[in-house]
Amino acid sequence: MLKRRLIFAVLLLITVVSCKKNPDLSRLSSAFVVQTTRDKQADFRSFATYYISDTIFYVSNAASQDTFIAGPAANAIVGEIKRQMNNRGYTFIGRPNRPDILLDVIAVRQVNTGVIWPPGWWWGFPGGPVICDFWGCWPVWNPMPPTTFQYSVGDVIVEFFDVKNAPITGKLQYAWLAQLSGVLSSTDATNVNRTVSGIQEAFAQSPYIQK
Amino acid sequence: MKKLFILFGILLISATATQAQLLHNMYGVSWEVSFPVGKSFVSSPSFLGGKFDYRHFIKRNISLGVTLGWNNYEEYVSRETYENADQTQAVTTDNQRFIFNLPMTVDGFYYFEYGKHIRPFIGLGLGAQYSSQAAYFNIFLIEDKNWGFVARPQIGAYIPFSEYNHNGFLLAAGYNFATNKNESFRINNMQSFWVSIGIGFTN
Repeated sequence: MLKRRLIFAVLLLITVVSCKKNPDLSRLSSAFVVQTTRDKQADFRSFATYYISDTIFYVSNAASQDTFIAGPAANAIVGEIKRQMNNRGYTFIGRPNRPDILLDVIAVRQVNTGVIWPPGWWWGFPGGPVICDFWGCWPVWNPMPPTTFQYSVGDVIVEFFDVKNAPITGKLQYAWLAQLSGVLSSTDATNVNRTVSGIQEAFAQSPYIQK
Repeated sequence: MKKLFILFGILLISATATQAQLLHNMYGVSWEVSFPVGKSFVSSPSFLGGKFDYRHFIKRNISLGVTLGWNNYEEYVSRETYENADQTQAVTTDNQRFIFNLPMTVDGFYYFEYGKHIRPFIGLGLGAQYSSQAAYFNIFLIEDKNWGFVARPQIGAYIPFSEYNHNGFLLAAGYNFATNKNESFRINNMQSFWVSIGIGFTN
């Protein structure tokens, strides 16, 4: 009797745990998750000038020889960073002129591939296909071909280095770091637009970046 | 002879009615709707909840038993910026928040007399609550699972289907306090008011 009650209790627990709902993720946006980190010791008001390259470092596990991004995509992203920095009171100068801040942008693209193997659940299922021979009828093992899928996730990292104090501290230390992360679209223009919006949000959440 | 049948019938009805007051066991299954209160990670109510309970009557007006319940809370939170305590890190995203609770309690109930058959009751359940809290954003997930102590004071009523059918409706309302904690989501405890409607099977 006790054993029967115990089995019943376990079955009941399994039933209740299976009542856990699957979350509805349909409303989640594809916009990048925007994170920023600051060095609390950094005095952003002490900086006056900055430099940023018009190309973007590129790292990917996809088959590509490219190690940087240039052209319209890079111009849009770097241009937005320049616009934000100018609005905060900093001045862009050439690298040989020893800027106080060095900014760089790194794009990371990770391509993930998966395979769905159909389970072949109809093995022996009534009504399924059969082959009959002298000894009887046998279900056909006729699995569907596996399906492959691919998606890309990416990060855009903006590094803000304190060059001004590097000779004093002996370290090239970042004062601010922004990271935009999320699933990538198959369209470059969409990814660029998401990156530009993400950069705007990164600066919006960092009001301390101000000359 | 006819009078004898009527007398026998009256005696039988009286006996059954008396039996209805002397329950031995009750097995309940209920639908539960729960409304979070206090500083809650998810503020939307849970409509996908329920409970199974067993009550054994040790006296005419007192039962002891166990309850196994569950609740699913879910809420979409539009794009917002969150900062850590020392304001050195910030993150901006929208997110889908989700909590699954599984309270397991040992219960005691005291029943009052109301009319012939309705049995209002007050009760208290004490036990443990398993909880899983999650935030989904873009393709990312932060999830934590924890256990806490739970207390469930409640009031309700057991209403038999009829004078002769001891099975009946189980109506209840109560408060749920659990000590589950989650630092990532700044959860210090979990509180909710709940109402439930169900069916109690008796023997």
